Amino acid sequence: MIRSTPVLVYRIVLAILFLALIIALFRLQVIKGEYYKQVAELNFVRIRRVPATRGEIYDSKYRPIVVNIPSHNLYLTSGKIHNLPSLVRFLSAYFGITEQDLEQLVFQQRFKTYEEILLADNIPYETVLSLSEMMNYYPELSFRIGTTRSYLYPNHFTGYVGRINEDEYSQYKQEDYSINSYIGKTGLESYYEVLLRGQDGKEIVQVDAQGRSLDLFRNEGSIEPLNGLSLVLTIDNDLQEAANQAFPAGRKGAVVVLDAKTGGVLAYVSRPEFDPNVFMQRISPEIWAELNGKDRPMLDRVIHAAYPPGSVFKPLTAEIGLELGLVYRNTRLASCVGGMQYGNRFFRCWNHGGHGSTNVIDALKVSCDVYFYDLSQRIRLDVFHDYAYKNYLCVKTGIDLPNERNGFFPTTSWYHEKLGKAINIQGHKINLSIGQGEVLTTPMQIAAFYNALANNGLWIQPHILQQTVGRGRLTREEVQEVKTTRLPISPANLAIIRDGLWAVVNAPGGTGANSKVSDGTVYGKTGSAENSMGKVTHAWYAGYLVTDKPEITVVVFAENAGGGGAIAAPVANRIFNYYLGNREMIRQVVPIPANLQSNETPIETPPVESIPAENPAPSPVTGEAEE
Amino acid sequence: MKKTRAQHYIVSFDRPVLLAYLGLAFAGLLTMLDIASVQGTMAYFYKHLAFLGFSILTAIFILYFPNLERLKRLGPVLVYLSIALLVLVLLKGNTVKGGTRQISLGFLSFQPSFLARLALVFFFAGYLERKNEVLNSLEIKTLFNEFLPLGVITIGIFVLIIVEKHLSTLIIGGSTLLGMLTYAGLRRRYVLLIAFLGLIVGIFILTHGDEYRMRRIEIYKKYNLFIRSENVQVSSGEEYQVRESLTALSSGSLFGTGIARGRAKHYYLPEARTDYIFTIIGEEFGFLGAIFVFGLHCLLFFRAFRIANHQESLYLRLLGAGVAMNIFFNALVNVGVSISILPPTGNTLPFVSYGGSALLVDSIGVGVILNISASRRYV
Repeated sequence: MIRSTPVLVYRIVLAILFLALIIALFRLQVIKGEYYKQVAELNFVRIRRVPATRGEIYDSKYRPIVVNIPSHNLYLTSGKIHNLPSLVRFLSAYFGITEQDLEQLVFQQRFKTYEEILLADNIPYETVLSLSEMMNYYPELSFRIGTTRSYLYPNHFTGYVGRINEDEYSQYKQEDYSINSYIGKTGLESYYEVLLRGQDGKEIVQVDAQGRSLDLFRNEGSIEPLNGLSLVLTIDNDLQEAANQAFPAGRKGAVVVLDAKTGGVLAYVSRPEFDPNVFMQRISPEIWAELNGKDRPMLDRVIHAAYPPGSVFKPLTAEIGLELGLVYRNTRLASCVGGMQYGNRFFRCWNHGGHGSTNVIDALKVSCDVYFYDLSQRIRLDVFHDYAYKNYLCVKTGIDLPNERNGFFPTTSWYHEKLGKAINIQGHKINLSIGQGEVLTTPMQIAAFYNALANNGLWIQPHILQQTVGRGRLTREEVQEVKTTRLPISPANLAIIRDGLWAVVNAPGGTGANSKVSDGTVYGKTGSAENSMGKVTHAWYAGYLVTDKPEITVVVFAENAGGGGAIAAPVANRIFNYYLGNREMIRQVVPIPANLQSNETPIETPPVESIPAENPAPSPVTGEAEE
Repeated sequence: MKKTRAQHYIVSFDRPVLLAYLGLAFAGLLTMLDIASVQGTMAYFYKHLAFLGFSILTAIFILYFPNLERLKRLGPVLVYLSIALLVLVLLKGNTVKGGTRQISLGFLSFQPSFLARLALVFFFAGYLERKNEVLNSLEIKTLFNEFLPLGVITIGIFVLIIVEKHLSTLIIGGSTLLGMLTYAGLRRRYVLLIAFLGLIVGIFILTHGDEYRMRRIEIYKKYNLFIRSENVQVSSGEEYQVRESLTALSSGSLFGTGIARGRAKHYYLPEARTDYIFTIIGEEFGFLGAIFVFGLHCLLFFRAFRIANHQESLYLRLLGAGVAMNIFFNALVNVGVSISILPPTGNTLPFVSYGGSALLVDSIGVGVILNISASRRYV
């Protein structure tokens, strides 16, 4: 039986404990409170974000493409606002910030009223000077120097950075972005965001009421920022410029130059030009209208747009015929009389005079449509489709840039779904065999395919990043593996197609004679693709240069510019000649400059899977066929 | 008693206990929202909300559990389960801030040491009831023989907890069990003997165990409320927590800085969410707010103890008192650490702090108290 004494003792002990606790708390909070209150108010800890410097971007010889430059930024500390209407007037007059913008920013920051908000960046120095005397009236505002990006020449591959927007912030805030952060929006800036951004540091400063640092925390809680890695690209600035010059002014289109051996992109041109720097400032409505005008300068025509490939597609049709054993080197097919009768329709050859009966090499040389029409009748559509995909035509190459387009090649079921079961696929196949009809490819896909032809059938994923420098050195393989595969073509059949491509450029009567060079051998194919965008054909040229070994692959594409042989081949010719003339310079290996040497121990490989690259895919461009 | 099979419904149960419990839970939720608001992510708040919802449901489920006497057999099972889990933690647990206490269950992690404490309370209640006659015996030899298994199991669990560096839970558990022994009527000289032995072991662990414990004692020497020793040298990084906690509490004063206006959470007072949540409350709601929260704990404890005293069944009496002490000692230690009456140690304020395992286990305790308090009508 329980006796009452322990219970009583228990109660007394607990009561004493309880009282002691309450007295202690009272003494601490109420009696001595004043002293600590002063301490708390005098000493105020501020946690300041020390932004990491974003990695820069260099070409393969460490010449800059994207650099950081200082910029004058305007910051707001919302906790210090004392006259809101006056502040609103000031900001809207000089920086075009409306009351709603300001209210929203202040609201977003309502729990961090002592952290600074970036209001405006890249403010011209004159503005800073003229406004600085007014800053006395607005203690909540302060000008400070930050950094911004400078894109040294217009291009479509670097992309650009911008202030993080609300959606991105809510998506990535767990990855330590603040509302002042910059984030890569497109291109390499977006694809390699994880490598480029580095890691912001934190500085914990305890300050007194006057804002003077008390040096109490300096070395304890502070975290040094880790600067981002700089990217070294496969791009060669000289060749890039040459390709840019070679492309006729005023035309729309794209040029891709690949290093035949590595698959690295040496030049990447999309026209009309687009200067990413426009996004570094407030964009005026006129510029915005121009960017979204009918020429669509922001569109990356190399990978974000897919077009009917026209005759540059014919080597694939030939490859299938040869691989399936439907034709051999000397097999002659239906005689071209300026076209071919199929059923009740006459399918025209581009040459209305006709080519007569040709074998595969001659058919490629003169780009005879009828040969391929005839060949296509013996190939099942779905086999055709599978070959296109196995050759990485009409599928993403997986280049290290965001939002690459797929391209398109139809299947039987697609036709049945789209046009009904009664449809005669043969007629469509005739069109597909010469790269017309529903088939769509990007210039990059064509370039990768021709590069594989140059490389004895070894397909190498095109890529633009070569290595990283700066805080850490990562080789291409450490960042992301470059995929290689063998195309489904035997060496003998590859040789036949190559002979055809050689004849296109070098034999009398070849359509690509304009791309011929004297110091090396060019293999190529022209194309003039009919399209729904206009009456004039798209001009295509795809080819590669061989000296003692395969050197470079060039694809030229010009929207609604005319014939491939007349328009596109000369552009390629200028690039081939520039390359041959400057081969020593382009091929030399440059040592890493001292200022880019990494001064730290190798960093661990960052997780490439987590690259926040995939934004919603851009809207389809050509509008001809949908996947 | 074969009543358990019969249909029954609950006529009444102790409402102050439930109100105190819900009041504490609400205070915790509010504070969590407050802390979450400055951290840019509401994840912890939502997690806490989910844990809390589940815990309250568990407490209510236990309230409606027919008869706790049936759980007598569960005591040893719970103890063995705890031992198994503690060993599992040692083998493959996560290390958090120097202590290996958690088992990861995918998205959430579980700290078995909390469960171990409750399991021991169940185990003791059952054991002491069975051996009640022997307990009063004067023969130390019989006493020793009869209670040997109990002692071995308890010491075994305690050793495991020590290895996992969860000393605070050990102190709370030890006091609770000692309290239960006293409550059951063990002679005072034996109680004192056990307490003395515990003290010696404790000092031994402090001096011969890991170095960090000694450093905490040093910090305590500098910041305790009684006799401060100014010449203690501790690196300011380590005393940071204690100093910030005191400063924050003091700046709360009588009425507090006002909700969401506290500074401590901006300073990122480490562990504000768990170990120092009382500080956040004291800062923002002042002395009155802090006393209110602590008062709720006292109310809970005294009501629970009263309920236990009024039970006919010795088992329920011991169980109720044990569970009540288990929760209250925990609260005492947490508050004591916050105001630096006790050396810094990491433990939670029941029902208020963030932390799923503690919340769930303590809520089971409240469920047990409510169940004991319920008067039933059997149909």
